Amino acid sequence: MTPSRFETMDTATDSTAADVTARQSRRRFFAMGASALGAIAATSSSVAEAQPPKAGGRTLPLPSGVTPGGDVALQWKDPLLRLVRRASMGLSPSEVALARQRGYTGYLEYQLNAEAIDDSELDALIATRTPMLSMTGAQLRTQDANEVKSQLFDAAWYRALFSKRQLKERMVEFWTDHLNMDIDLDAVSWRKVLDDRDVIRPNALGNFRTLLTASAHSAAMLQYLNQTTSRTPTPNQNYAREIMELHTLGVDGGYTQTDVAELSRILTGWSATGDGAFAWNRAFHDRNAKTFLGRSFPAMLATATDAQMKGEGDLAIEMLLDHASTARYVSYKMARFLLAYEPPTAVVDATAAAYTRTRGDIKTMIRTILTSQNLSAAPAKYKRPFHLGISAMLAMGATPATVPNLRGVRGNNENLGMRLFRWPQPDGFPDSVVWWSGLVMSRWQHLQFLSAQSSTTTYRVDSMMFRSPDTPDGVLNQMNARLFAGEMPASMRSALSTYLRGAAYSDARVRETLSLALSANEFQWY
Amino acid sequence: MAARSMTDESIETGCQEYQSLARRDFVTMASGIGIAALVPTWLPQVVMAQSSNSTRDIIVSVFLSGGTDGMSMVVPYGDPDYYTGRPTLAIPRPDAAAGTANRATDLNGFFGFSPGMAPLFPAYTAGDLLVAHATGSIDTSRSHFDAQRYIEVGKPRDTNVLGGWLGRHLATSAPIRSSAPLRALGFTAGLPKTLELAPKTLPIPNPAAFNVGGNAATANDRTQWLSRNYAQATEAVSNAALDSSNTIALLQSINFNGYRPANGATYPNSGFGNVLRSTAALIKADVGVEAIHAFKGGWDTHANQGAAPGVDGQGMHNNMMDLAMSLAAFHADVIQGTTAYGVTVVVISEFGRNARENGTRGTDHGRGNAAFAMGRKINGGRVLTNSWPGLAREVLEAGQDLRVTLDHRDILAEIVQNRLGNNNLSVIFPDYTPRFRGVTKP
Repeated sequence: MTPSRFETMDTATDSTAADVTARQSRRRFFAMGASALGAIAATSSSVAEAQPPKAGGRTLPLPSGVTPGGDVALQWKDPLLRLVRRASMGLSPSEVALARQRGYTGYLEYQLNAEAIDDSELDALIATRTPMLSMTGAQLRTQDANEVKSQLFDAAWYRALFSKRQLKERMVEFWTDHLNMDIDLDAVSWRKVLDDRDVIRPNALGNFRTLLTASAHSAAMLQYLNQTTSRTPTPNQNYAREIMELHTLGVDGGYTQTDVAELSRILTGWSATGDGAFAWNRAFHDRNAKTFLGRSFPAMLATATDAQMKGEGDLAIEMLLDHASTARYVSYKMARFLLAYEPPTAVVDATAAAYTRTRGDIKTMIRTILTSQNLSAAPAKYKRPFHLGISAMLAMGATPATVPNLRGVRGNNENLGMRLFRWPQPDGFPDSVVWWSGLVMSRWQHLQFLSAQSSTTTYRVDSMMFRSPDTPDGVLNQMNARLFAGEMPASMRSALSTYLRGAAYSDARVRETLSLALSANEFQWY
Repeated sequence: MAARSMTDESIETGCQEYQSLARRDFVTMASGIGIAALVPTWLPQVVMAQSSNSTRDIIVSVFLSGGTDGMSMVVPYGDPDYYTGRPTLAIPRPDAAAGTANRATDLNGFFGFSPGMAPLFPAYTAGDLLVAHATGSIDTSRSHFDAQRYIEVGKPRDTNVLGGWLGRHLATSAPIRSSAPLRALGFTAGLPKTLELAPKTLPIPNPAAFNVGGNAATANDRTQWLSRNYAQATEAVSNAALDSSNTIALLQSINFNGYRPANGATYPNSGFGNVLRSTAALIKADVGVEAIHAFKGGWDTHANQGAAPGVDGQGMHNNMMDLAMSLAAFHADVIQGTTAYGVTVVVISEFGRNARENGTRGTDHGRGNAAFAMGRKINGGRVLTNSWPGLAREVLEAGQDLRVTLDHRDILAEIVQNRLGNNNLSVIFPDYTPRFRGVTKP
């Protein structure tokens, strides 16, 4: 079904070019990557590595025969803590206590059934601090766009920090990447508030079919990918391509350039109103016959109803959602996000089977991925900058009262390269240790910055929380408990102790030691 | 097990130079880990390209992400089908009637610079700027991400090739300066694929602010603490930490903010202008940085492309102006200036755009594109094609796109061998036999 992507180039006309001596290619070297990683995955999890579907070009294996995070994960003995690391934004003492009280399955089910969790305190905080998020599209479009965006960014931080629905916030992060758009484009801007509120968040732990269908009716998405102005006879192929490549089938999911062109014709007429609602524009629709993924869409008369014309797109999206490539691609991405950079094939297969069996139930897929057995075998993952900042603040006991205004914190975190909602390409922020691990200096700067905050109007870290009892050993015990839930390696404690005792005991020295504990390799993983 | 034996073999037979480099790192670190842990396990058996001769250039690699509309940059005005396919978006001929707005600047009687690229005309007439056209990758996916990835990797459609082409060049060449703590950087938030596998290489979004922050009196102690802590981390992370620690002093020795360009050059006060300005400062500081990679985005012009002044908000025109003025300043300041090493610049994008405009005053993802190389030893002042494939509908690829008749690897490989002094082309561009097309000068 998929034609060759290679074409022979016409070089017959080239007579003047000098040939470079062909050299024997060292194939064995270049073939090493996948097999070496596969061998390592086999030793750590007893199953072969999944062959990763290609997503966005940045989800390939590491360039060396090492399992990133494998060393750190060796220190993690408690399966329950492994679950809290994956299902939340960080090991805060309160979250750990909650998990211990409920046990592995109980805690996972508690987080999965997010709608049953009372989050009214957070809801009140969001309503107070980011009131624009409840506005209609008609209201939002008249507001200062920069302030609208800032409130959306603020809300993402407040929710990650203070929502009790921690797993939901992780999944919001995942789906926000999966259905990424760049809010800095005028075409997106305030419309992303609607997309976040009405598409991503209500469906983050719901059903993928509902989520993707809602996204296909999202003004922000349709504007972002130029769908709203796509009309016959010269349709714009942008959305038609990305909904297949990035949202459903994956780039190798079995579609052709002809399918892109045909889907772009099918989707003509899918548009949006000026107030950010979906709109069907009959005048834009291509009524001629089409063939998409092998299925015929017969020509329509000019008298066909709106439902018939627009229904072609609904049907095409249903075909994508029913496709085995979608089950596998979405399952792979989710397993990569929640479990491991190279998730075991068996886990991906089981998750894809769950997708197919339940017709896209996200909770069932997560249950399939986050088993105690899977987590115990999984190497650690490297925290992306947002996750790192949130987890550091949670470890340092942030509450709404200690963070009256987080814009300074947020701005400082953006130096780490993860400006929320502003990844410029539709593939979302990379889920890759190679991409993020180079910027260690910016991470160290940020964690130093956080640990030194003492402002009552923006953000303050209550260092007395760590100076309890107020001795070097007391500080080290608190760091072990609050940052690592008791699993700080002994060698690290010893090194921190050396630094802490290397100068007169003082609040500044305690905060510096805290910045080192947060900056240490051991804290970068989850 | 296969991986293990290969690792041992490459350590034993492949990389004496690398072991000595790793040893220096090891001594610097003064910690208890063995050398084997620091030798890259992926390094193939190659003869390392040697350094310290003035014929080896520093390379500046610019990736224009989003897929530039090369036909709005370098206009094939001599092809009448260009005007047929773009009834509203085409740039007028240089010899269009007097008073016609936005005419192209003629390059060679067939191609011309659009107004947004015109700032590069002096570099072109000086013979330092080579324009290539109908060039690109053999990958036909028209996917941003696949096309970009495989151009950065250096081999299309092969997921088993490790790292990027520039990374493998650096990995198979001795440092231009053996003591350099930093050989390459990306002006990026993360390590770009192009540079993956390069030793002593970091993403550094702002080289003027590269330190751990906090109390300056304890900064060194804290940095040393973190270096020791990260020495035990897995490879990608530990190398980044080690290189970072070793790079702090280097970057602090360079006055980026007070840098004064030569020859009256003025860089635009834009993101990309500042990147090239900082690149110039780094190169002139002569600290051993030999490869710089940067992205410039904003080229995915599906609608209201605006490739000329006063047209549809002139978005692409402004982007081209920023690109061309930045490169022109770099040309005056660095290429025409005095540097310890020669400098070669390459500018490529993942794909071109449709020969025929779409219905929203834009262009969708296409194939053949323009690319650029600049340097004193670049055989410039001309437009290089491997025969222009034409724009008549019947010769377009998939009925819509300019064909690719010049593989971008031909350009890159010739630069790697002749300007970067590295003969390991089979490692850098695996399974490809490039044709040298006179991109470089002796």
